[in-house]
Amino acid sequence: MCYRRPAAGGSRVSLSVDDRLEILDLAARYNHAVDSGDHEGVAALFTEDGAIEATATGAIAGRAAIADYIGSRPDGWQRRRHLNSNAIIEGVPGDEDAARLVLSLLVVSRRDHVVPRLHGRYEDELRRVDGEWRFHRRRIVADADAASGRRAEG
Amino acid sequence: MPLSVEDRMAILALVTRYNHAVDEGDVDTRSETFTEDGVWDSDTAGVVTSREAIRAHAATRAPQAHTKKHWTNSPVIEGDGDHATIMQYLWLVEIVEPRRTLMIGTYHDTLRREPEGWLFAKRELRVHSRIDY
Repeated sequence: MCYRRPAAGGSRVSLSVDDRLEILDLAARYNHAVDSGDHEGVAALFTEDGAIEATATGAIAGRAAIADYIGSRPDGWQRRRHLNSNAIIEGVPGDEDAARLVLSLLVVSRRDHVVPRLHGRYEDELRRVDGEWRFHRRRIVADADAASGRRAEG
Repeated sequence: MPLSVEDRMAILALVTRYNHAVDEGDVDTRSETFTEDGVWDSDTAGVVTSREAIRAHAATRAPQAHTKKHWTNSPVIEGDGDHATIMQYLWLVEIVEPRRTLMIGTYHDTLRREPEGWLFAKRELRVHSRIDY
């Protein structure tokens, strides 16, 4: 799994500083778009055949399906703020247009002001298309999902 | 000229310096993250104009130091030449009992490159939700 340290002497691929900043920017834009209910904006951050996947939903593939999913509950999203930390960014051996990103995720909300509504992590596969980094697959792994029965929503 | 990697790192460092200064009650460092004519426009403090006025405002808040932490998140930086903007979240957390989330908001900042580096020309803090504290 990509959040583990590569073995000594392993084939870690170095990404440029520009690539790393652009990937962090992509993650930030996702948070602002999803929290403002901008479902088309979220979808545009994915490759054409990109997918978002959470325990409760399974894989949702394609920009139109992603936009429908995000747009299906705009009021719910707008009460929330997605916060990320602990970014680990790695290249993919043999493919300079691919990268992996792991982020810690907290979702805080107006309604649930004391305890974060969701904590977990994103496990992302990224692809560079026409010079722009995009999510190819975004997997939401919720720590609290099993314990509390809450639905994991990215 | 597009922002360089060095510009982006300097802007993130400015935000970090502000966060540490406000959390520690360091009035001088907090006010010196602004330009001389800088504006602090927040839903909690109203509009405060000029570095000196921001320093005076910061002094009134200094007694609350060491009770809260400013967690900023998801920065989106744009800009060109000597001007830039950064939008990011604020998650304000109480670090003493009862350790609550105090505020969720969004900073919309305008920055200017000055001889001493990137500084806030205007910080706007729009509150998304907060509790009384």
